[in-house]
Amino acid sequence: MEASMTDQGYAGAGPQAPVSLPEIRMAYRGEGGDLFFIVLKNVFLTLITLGIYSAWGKTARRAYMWKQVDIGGERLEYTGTGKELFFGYLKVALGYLVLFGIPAVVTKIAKPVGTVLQVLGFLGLMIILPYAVYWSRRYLLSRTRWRGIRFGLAGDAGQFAKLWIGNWFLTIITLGIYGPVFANKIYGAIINNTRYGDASFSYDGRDGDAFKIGIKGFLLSVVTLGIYSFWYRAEMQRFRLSHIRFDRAVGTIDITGGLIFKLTMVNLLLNGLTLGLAFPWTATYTLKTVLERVRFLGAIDFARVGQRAVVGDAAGDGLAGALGVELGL
Amino acid sequence: MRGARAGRYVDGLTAVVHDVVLLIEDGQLVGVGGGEELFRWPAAALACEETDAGRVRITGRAAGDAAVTTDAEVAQALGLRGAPGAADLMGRGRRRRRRLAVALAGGIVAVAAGFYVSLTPIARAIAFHVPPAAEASLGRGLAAVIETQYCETPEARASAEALASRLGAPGTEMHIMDTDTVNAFTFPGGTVVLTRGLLEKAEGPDEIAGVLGHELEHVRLRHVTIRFVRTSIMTALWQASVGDYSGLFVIDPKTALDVAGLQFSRDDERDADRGALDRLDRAYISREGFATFFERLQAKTDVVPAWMSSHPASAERITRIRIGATKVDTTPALKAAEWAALKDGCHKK
Repeated sequence: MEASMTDQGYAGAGPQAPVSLPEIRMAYRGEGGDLFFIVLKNVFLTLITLGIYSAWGKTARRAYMWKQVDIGGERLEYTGTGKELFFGYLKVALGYLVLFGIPAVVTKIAKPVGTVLQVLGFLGLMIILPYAVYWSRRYLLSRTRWRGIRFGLAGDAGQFAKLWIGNWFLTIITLGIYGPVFANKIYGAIINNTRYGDASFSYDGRDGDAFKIGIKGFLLSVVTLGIYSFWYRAEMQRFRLSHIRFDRAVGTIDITGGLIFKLTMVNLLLNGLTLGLAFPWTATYTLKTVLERVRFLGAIDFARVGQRAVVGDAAGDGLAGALGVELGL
Repeated sequence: MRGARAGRYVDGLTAVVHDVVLLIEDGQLVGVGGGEELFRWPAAALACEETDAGRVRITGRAAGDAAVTTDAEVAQALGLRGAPGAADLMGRGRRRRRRLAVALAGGIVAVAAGFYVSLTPIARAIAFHVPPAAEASLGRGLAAVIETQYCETPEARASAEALASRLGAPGTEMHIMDTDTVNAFTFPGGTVVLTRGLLEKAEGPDEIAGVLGHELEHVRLRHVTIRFVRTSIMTALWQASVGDYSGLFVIDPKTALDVAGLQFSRDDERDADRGALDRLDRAYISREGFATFFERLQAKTDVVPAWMSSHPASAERITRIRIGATKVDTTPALKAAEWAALKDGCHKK
């Protein structure tokens, strides 16, 4: 049963799924016009509050987008608050001040010491990056509720950072060849630590398989002047989703390179023609298109999923925003 | 709301979704399922949000992680914050929202325009309160990025500084930058940079005197510092409004080049021209060189430099330079030997 489900999942195509298998479908129910209105309001209030409102604006936008995500007939719920996000931003700004402001001032007084501090600041930033990824993911998951149960990210950031930095180093010294393995390990670590209530997700995508897809994708992308990269991305998405398990269900995404190509082109064209004003609509269209192709096949016993204590600090979110490693949410 | 309504209930303890019957009793929301009362929440500690047209999710302090999804009428009957009004359910809400959207868009444009207009006066006020030492230090920091392209010989530097001195600005730090671009610019604090291209295009010291007088006026009127403050405020506002604070603490090379290629406003240029003419007159240098230099550069449109640019319209500018040129007993801006040293003053080439 378990093995055949995996195979089904990886094949990814819907039609041959056995009828007996329960499935959870996803959908995005939002509308571009609604999102546009929220963004408009955010921009206005952010402007007249000199930026302070942006934390509340981001929260309002997420609250809207989360509740439009329909998983098996039940909507997601965002429980984060603008206030906690605002204080998260403040902490990050303070961190930046320490990391860059102090070296800049010291440089003015004693140049050599300042230069050393600036280099240390830059190295610090490199080390902070995985922490930012981890903390922001933990914050978002801990503020996401579905069927009354909160998500979460277990494990600890230090462990994650160690994995990240070690593998990142390997990627650098192999001139990027190790990259697909690095990405697979990071993805796996995140999924394996993802909790829904007191139940775990698990990821069993093997590094060797990810490596094969990555190398093939890279080589064919070079040969086709980048055109294959859309098909490469689709294959990697199918591979990753098909190795996510929860209880007795396994993920699948019915996505093709052609579809990603089409989405990319439509987004580029519409956003380009409207100077980005179309983005609430293009983002909505993309979400709808992608989410309706994601399913979880197999039984989930919801009675066995219980609540778990909440962890996660909004500073992680602000940090990720500042470092540009946000998930685009 | 009369009678009972159906709803879907999650208890926040497990992920099971229960079908429940909802009743309102004395301002409390009561859920019944499987023949027993599952919850009783006071409306005062509840909130709701619309998830779908006509559907709401009711949550709140009273509920903890639990929630109920049901018809919007239930939320209305409880008088909950966030309940869609009757108007919303009938589509009137959409029209109201569209009007609000137009108002918001107008508001954004108005606020942005307001900021933009008030920015220069604010920047001016700030710039005149920047202590000279801080201004000089800022200028040095920015100039450091292009310092490697300085190419003047000691003799050329002496000539340029003598010219500045004659124009009423003794002690001005002068440099020549090794580039074909025809330009001259200043850094906060007063350092003036002439380009090799500019010196090559000039046919006499009087022509350079006009340009230098113009730059010295930019310094005296603190135009560069004002622009710099203005740009910094704009960058800070922009980054704050998109929630990105990363750029606030670093001066990157780009900022320095921005300063070098700064576009002044039409008024700034006019003021600088006016002051330059005063300086020429007081130094008994003919205005004619300044005017002919403009004319010659304008004839070859491909080398119209940034400081000349389009504002104020160059023809108008040239006319104004010639009007009121009263000095008759003028002398060349530099002696022949000094001019020769300045004209070929870039040793790298």
